Amino acid sequence: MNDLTKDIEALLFLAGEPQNTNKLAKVLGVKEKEIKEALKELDEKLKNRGLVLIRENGKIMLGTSSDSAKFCKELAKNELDKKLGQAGLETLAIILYKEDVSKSEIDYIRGVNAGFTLRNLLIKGLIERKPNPKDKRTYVYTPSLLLFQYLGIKEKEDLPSYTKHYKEILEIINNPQE
Amino acid sequence: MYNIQTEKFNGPFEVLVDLIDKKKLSINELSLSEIADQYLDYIKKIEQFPTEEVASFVVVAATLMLIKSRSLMPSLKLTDEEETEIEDLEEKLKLYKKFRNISKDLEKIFGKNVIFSRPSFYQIENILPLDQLQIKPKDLSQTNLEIALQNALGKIPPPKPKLPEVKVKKTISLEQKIDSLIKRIEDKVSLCFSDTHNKNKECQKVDLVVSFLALLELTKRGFIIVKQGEDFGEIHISKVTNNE
Repeated sequence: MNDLTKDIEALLFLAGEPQNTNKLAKVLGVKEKEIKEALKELDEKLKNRGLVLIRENGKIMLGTSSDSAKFCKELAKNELDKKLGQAGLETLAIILYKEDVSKSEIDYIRGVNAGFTLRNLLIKGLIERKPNPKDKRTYVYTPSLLLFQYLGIKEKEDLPSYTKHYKEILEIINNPQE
Repeated sequence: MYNIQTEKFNGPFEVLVDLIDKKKLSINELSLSEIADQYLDYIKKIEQFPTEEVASFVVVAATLMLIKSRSLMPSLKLTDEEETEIEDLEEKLKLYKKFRNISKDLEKIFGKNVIFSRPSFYQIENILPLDQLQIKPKDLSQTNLEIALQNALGKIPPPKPKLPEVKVKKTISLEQKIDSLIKRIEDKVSLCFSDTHNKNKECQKVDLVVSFLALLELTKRGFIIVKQGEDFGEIHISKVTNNE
């Protein structure tokens, strides 16, 4: 492992919460591109280890491997509130499989006002919001790394049949008359 | 059967997809026409309709009625707009159903094999309750709190006294003033503006204004001529005679 990779591992272990690649680049005094390459190496090295690298959209974090979840749960005594309800799960599905989705798009797909559900998911820290790049007055919603932790996935592509679902959703949206 | 709670409330699409799924049908015009009646029954049974959602339920109901009518009367001609409405509903339901299926997959994995992380380096302090930290802020004392409270209270500005509201008393109307002016001028042929209004202090201002307005109005009508020798000086009023 080269020095940069080791340093990143140390920083991620210490921080315990999601870090941005650009922040790591700043702290370590290197280019973001180098950070990304080192992360690839770290991800490789962590295979068959107790730790995993979770990442989404420039955010990275170190976590315990989902293979050890059973024992970690026991030690952490973490009573998870697993009930998200149908509305919560559907909204998460939309946010996970459709990138940078706005509230009005979620309302449209589910046929009801998603305001209450979105607030709930935001409070639980399962989603994040950022200004809509297309319209600064509104927001778009993205999954948080905490959501990935709960789902036990390292990245979006680990979601159940991600590519297949993603393609089918695009087909429905683009070819209304089948 | 279906429990309405704000949190669990899922809206018209879920109701439709549920009804279609129960019959093991796929989403198309035929299946929609078959479940139209059940959907309407369902709406009728809801006692406490969440107000914001009524509209979305009714819009869907209207489209379903359209579909049902066409299935009963194949000769029924629909406008382009109505055709699009039906297609839109089918498309929306398909998209909704897709996400609903995905959400069921998510439910299976959510919270199952959780990836744990260390408590945040930055937030460890906040996670531990104060008494476990054994670090007590040095300046936390009853006296200090009392001082702080007094300071904070002192910073609240006292409420602004409201300016008293006064109603303008209507002393005399413009029409009345005009009439009285005409009468006086006719009597006197010429008079001074200062003679035209009430000298009583209380109603002076309003009366003065009304008198002046009457003066202007009469000048405009061509009844009188006014002359003022100097700025703020006495205004002399005289009647326009027909000869002039």
